[in-house]
Amino acid sequence: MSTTAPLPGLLGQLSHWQRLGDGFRSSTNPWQMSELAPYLAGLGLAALVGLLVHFWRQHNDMSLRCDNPRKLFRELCQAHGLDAQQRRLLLEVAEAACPYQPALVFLQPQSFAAERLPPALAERAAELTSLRERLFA
Amino acid sequence: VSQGLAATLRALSKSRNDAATAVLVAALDGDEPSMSALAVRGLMERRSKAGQLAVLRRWRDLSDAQREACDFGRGRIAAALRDALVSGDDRLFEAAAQLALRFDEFELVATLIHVAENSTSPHVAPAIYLVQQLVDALATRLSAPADPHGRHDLQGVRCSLLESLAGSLARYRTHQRTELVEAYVALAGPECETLRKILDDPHHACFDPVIHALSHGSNPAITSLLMGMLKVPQLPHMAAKILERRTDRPLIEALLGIGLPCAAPTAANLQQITELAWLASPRQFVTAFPAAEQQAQAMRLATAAGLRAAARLDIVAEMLECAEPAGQAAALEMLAAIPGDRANKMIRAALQSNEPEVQAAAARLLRERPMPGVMNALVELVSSPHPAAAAAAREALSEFSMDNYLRRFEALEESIRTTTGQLVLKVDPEAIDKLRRELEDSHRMRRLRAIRAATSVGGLPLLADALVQRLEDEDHVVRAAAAEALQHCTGSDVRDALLAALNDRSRSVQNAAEASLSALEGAVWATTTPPERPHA
Repeated sequence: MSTTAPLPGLLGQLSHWQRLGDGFRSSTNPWQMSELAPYLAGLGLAALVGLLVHFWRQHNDMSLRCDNPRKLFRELCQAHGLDAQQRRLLLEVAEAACPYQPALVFLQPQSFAAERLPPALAERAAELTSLRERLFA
Repeated sequence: VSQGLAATLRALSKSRNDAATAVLVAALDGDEPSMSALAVRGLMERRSKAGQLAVLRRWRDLSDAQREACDFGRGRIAAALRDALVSGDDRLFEAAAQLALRFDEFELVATLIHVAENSTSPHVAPAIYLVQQLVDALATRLSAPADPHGRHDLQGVRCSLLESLAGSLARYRTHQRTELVEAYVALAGPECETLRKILDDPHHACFDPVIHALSHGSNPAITSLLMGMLKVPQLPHMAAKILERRTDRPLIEALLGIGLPCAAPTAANLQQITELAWLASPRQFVTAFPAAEQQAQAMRLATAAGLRAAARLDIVAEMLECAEPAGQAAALEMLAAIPGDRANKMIRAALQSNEPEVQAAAARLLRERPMPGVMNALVELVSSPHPAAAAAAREALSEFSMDNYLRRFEALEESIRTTTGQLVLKVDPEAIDKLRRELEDSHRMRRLRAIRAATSVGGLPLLADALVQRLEDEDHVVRAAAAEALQHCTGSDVRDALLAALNDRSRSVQNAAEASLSALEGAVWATTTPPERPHA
């Protein structure tokens, strides 16, 4: 008795073989977009933190190369060890004398002259004198 | 600067925020002069080209204090200066040129060469001038003692500049800037291969400008280069020719500074120099260099150089007429190697000079150069009150030494013994000492010869003590000769010794002593009681 099927017969059933693996596929529900939501939220948060860090560094890291007059003002305030109140006062003086280059106030003792100061600062003459002496004396 | 302002300045200088430059420039233009100077300092200390160029742009308007503040830019401003030099802007170029010289920014020469070679640049002439100035400054620094705190490795800078200038030399046909060639020559050392190659190749594009630079360059570095070439082996032929032709005072002074006699390479190089234009008229030279030592050194140099005999004779003849005694004496030394009647006449004339230094120089020449008719002059010179002249004459007559005289004594006739002996006594200052040593010699023949020689030279009175000692000689012939010779001596010790010799065991000694005593004392001897004579 012959054990081999004739070749033309096998080739005739080729279409059935192609469907052989169909039974192994998942029988669960198809993929949903909502499954990605936590990951996206995490990524978004990370990006936000990164941006915040970046902006914080841009704002406070004086070793970064930049061209920022207000940052320079802060850098000089740091160099002189001015506290927040003194910084605010100096900024007011700078905005009155040299608004485009606030740091210039560190090289312009005449900005502290009474006639150049805005009237609002007239009452803080003592503080201004102390600040002027700190910067120039 | 106050503490607060110092902190501001420090922060602005070091800040990485470019706004600091703008702040400093604004302060520079402000009303407060003290702040302006501070701003200049800040801008110079910042390594910001824009800020430094802003200062350069305002250079003409800066006060002295502000310009002084620019000194803080030393070593930091090269990039800005480079930009200013190539900008084509008059104000920037002027400022950059001044600061380049002030800060010895030698590295800018490469940029300046670029400007100088660019025929369309409006700053060709000033760029060339600046190259020359910087090269001169570098050459001066190189010739000065090394500064251990100096910012520059000067030899490194020199090599770098030479490289740039060598590039310019290669492009010489295009730009034809002889000043750049001169700058190269000023920095090139005496062993520079490129320079030597050019000097040996008349067809080289730079041959003419190099020769011109070496021949006419007033730069002290060029004088140093020529002098350096003299000191290293193989002086290029063209360099020798240039050394022959140059008549400028700095070069002459440098040549007169050569230590003579000199080392082998210099001596060989000097021989290549067959002419010295500045000595063509010795009278003019003497007028220009009246110092005796300079004149003498010039003559020593002429002696060391390879001048022709005729030229040497002309120089000596004129120097003997117009130079200082030291110059004349040194000039005479040049005659040592020149035979002939003209030289002989000069030497004879010099022997009659009123200057002992010149007489001495002439006498020294006569030692190696026997000349008829000068003996009397030399003998007279031996008695000169001037030690140098007398010593030179003795040196010239050194043949008339006591050693020679004693060696030939037996062969001389009696009359010649006397005349030559007197000359020997005059010429040889050690003649008496030598006779004294000879009298003490172990050989009786030499002792006897010494007594006879002392008699011939007329030196017996000077040897009285030695002759007295000879009365104790073991040899009775010597004792007798000594006793006989003592008749020419005086002194009580001589008389006593002769009296003692009357008791000598030898009859011949007794007789000689008696004869000498008779001769010495004459009538005095007659009055004294003769001692008892021992029987032989």
